[in-house]
Amino acid sequence: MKNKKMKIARIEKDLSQEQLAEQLGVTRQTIGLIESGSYNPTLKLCVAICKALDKTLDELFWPETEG
Amino acid sequence: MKQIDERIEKSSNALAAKLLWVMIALQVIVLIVKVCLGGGAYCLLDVLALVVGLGAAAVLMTVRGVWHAGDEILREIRNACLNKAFMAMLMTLLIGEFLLILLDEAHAGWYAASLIVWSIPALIYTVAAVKNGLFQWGGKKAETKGKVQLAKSTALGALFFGIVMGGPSCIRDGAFDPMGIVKIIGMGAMWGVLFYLMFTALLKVGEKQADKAAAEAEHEE
Repeated sequence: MKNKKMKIARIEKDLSQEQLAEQLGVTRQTIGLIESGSYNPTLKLCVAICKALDKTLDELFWPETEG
Repeated sequence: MKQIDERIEKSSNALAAKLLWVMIALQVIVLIVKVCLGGGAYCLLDVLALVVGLGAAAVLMTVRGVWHAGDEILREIRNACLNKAFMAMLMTLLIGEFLLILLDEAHAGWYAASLIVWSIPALIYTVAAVKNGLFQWGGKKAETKGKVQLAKSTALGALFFGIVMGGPSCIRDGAFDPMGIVKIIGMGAMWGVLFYLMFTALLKVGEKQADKAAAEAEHEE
């Protein structure tokens, strides 16, 4: 499942995938794979992403509840 | 140059964990063949490599308690242990073979058999890492920094190669021969340029493969 919330949060912060990757010390492709839902990051990386994007874990990684 | 990327680290560990068993199997085959052909006296490195590979795997897996890896996390920890064992065995073979050939040139043929044991897994590892996009710079900034670091490391490696290959030519009939220095520089430069070009070419292909995988994932669903 794609992580659109993370992509939107990154764009809101005016960061490219490469800039976010540099901040986190990972590769650009890893950010791409997380956003596309093809890679599940560890909690450690999730927290680092949240800190970099000024969001909480809930806001970025908790799946939307179906109505 | 080296960024710690957990995705790459996990995939590399999984790859090396599989290749450790390939390397151990090859080592056992080489050892049996050497003994059967009468080269039992030249099996010290082969036995040492097996002890290092299997021993490191056993110790690390016992310390981390991952003999029975029932879930994804335990499997990842076990792969990390096996990766360390793979690297330890590979280094033992590389350094051991180099030293033995250097110290006992008369029996170099027996020691050279170790080439089969380490080169096949190393080749598979490289091809798989490049194909799966694990071998990459990881961004423009990292590429710039990495290229400088690679150039420094290559220069050191080239100097070592030049001294090993051309060093003996510096002494001829008990006297210093300046042509030996030319040979050291020539050999080192040749190795250095080839290594640098090959390494950057592999990284370029690896980067393309990683981009391809990320783009494919982006367009899925």
